Amino acid sequence: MFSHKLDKSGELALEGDLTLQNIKDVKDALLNAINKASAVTLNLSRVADVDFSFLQLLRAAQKSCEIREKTLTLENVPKRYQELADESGFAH
Amino acid sequence: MSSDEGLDKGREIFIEEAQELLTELESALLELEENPADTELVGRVFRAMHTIKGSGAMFGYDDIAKFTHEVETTFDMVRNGEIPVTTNLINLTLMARDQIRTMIEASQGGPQVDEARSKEIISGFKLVMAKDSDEKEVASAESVTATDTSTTAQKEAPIGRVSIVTYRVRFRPAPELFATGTNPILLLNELREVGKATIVAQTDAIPTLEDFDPETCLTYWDIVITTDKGIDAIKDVFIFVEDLCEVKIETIDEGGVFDEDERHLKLGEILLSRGDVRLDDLKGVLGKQKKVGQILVELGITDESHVTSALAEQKHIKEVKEQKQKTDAASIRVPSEKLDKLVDLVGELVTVQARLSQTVTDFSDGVLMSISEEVERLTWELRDNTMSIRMLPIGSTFSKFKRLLRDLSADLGKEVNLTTDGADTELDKTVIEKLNDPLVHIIRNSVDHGIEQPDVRVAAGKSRYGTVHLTAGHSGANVLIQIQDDGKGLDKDVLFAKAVEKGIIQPDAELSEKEIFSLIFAPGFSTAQKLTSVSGRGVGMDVVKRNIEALRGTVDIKSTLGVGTTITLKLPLTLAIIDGLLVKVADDFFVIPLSVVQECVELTKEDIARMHNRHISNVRGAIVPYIVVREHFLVDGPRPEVEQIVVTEVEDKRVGFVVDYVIGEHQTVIKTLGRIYRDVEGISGATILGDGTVALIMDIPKLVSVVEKIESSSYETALSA
Repeated sequence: MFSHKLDKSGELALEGDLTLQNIKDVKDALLNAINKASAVTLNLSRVADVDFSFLQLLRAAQKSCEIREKTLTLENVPKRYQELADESGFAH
Repeated sequence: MSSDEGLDKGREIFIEEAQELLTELESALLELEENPADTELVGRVFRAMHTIKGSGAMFGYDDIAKFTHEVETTFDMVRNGEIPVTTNLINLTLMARDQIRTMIEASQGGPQVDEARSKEIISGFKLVMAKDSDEKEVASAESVTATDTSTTAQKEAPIGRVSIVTYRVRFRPAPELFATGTNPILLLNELREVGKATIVAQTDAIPTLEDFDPETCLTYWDIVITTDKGIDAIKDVFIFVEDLCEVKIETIDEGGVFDEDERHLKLGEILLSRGDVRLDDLKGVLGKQKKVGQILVELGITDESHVTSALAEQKHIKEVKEQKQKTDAASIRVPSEKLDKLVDLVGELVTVQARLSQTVTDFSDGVLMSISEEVERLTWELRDNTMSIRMLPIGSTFSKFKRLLRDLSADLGKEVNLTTDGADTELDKTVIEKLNDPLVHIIRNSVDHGIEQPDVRVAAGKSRYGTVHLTAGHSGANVLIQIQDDGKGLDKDVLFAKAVEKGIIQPDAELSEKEIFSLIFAPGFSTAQKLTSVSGRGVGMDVVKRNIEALRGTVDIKSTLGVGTTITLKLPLTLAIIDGLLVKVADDFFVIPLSVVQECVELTKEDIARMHNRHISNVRGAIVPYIVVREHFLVDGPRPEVEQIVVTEVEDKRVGFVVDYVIGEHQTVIKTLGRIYRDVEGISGATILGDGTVALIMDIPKLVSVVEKIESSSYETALSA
């Protein structure tokens, strides 16, 4: 299950599972937000699960933002995300 | 394995190490039984087995390596959470531990190993593994059976290769990895199980969001891993994804040994060897003031993530090296014979130093005097340091008793806990070794005779669990060891009646409570109603007392009926050198251990006459009996007008020893007496004085008991005459 909501300030609230099953939808939501806002804030407070595919997706999003000189900020990062970043060597 | 006389050094070290590991294994298992969920303890058991197996194979103990391998495999499964820790598993592993010890003893000429028992234990382990697999209903032939165990064996690093190697791994999965259901994080976690791993993700292949297919895996990893399990253990992690990834493994350090001169690889060299930069590019930037990594990134030769990864490798190797140095510096293994030799030499030095001091005093030369004092100071320092090297915490002995108690409780159907206190109390290793048997006997007695059956305890309003509390602590130059149980206590009437029955005392004997309790140390005394597998081993408490006294220690016993018994052993810190009081009788020298000396008082002819020559004196109002050393050891010559009484205290009794002169304190290097003097009662050894003469060391408790015996028999003779 995955849903999202983008408000005018550029805050994208992601809800549900940010996992391989939904990753294409997550990409679309993220791309849409980056296209519309100059500063995107990802609110992860209502995220249920997250897997490695989301870490990769976020890296791709960061690259897009760097090129377009936009900012991407994470908010309310769940503990599972931090663990995953450590386990997968993304934390270095 | 034959019991060769000439076991080479390696084998000797293996045996020594294995004994220590088996002790460690036993205590870890007993702790694990109490805390089955403690993964740290599981790790300790696994590591002990792993090391025994590896070193065993290295030194040709193939039987031990093969046997241990099965246990190790089981504990690997426990470590992976595939098998739970059960009492059955603990029992099996304790049995395996004993079997390994038997194998080691057999290799040293001990009794032959019961092969059938080995097979039985192995079958037990296989059953545990197979049972677990059945429970998990693992599909097809993947379940752990005898055949599969050997497959596991093949996967392991070759037996005997236990050197630590650092590898660099680049793991690049195919983009379609996710489609096969593989989670790369699980592979990375599996790798972390193999050894100390530093893992850095590389994301330069990931495009911008627009061009990215999020269902592909475009990340690859740089991993630096230090392990003693060999390269195959790393390859095994990727065995099921071989076709879906590229795994490049390079050895970057072998043996875990870094030469002192060897510097850490520089960042540029790491990037170069990884193929992340070209030599020409590197040369181009070297010599610039900025850091190499920064310049390479700025020039676009490589990106930040590769530099980060190379830096992580640098840090990893540095940590491994530091850890290695730390371990090396922490301790050093020295054969105990070398230490004994050192103590002997220090003993000689102490003796020579005493001669030097004495000679210098005769010369009255200021310069010589100051040199002699300096030598004296250094000698004492050397002596103290050498003694401290031989000091070991008594804790290792304590942990053995946990096992003893566990087995005893099971044999006797009792429920007994062992609690300990002061495990870090240090005492001489020789004392610890010799203390083992008496302690085993006392504990065995406490459980067998002291602690009641659970239902009896409950009926008496006690907890069904009995407790044996073992404590150790320092008390001046002595160590006090207490064995306290909360059992039924000693019954004075029963003890008295038994002693009369055995003819140890007369029915009309008047004994204090303490004396009655001491009866249990009389030879041939036993109150056991029947022989059990625990008692009736032909050793009585008299042997315990004798052994403790041989260590120049004392045994004290206190008991309250229905509440429990406390046995206190008082032992000297060391057996090699003691502080003594040097005394002289005619031309003969004697040493009285300073630990029992209370004071010295004069004894004049008038004092003797006042007491009607009854060998007692009045020391500030207290009556103190004394032994005239001259009479006891039949030393010729007239008694001086004024003699000295050295008042000692043994087992709460004050007894004086009358000598001609008290010379003073003397550092006494104990020399054992030859076989011919073995039966001389009251002398525990000898020492050599500064001028080369010999002084005998008096065994005060023994002398007191010998004189008491003589006195009581002459009293009885007088009565019957």
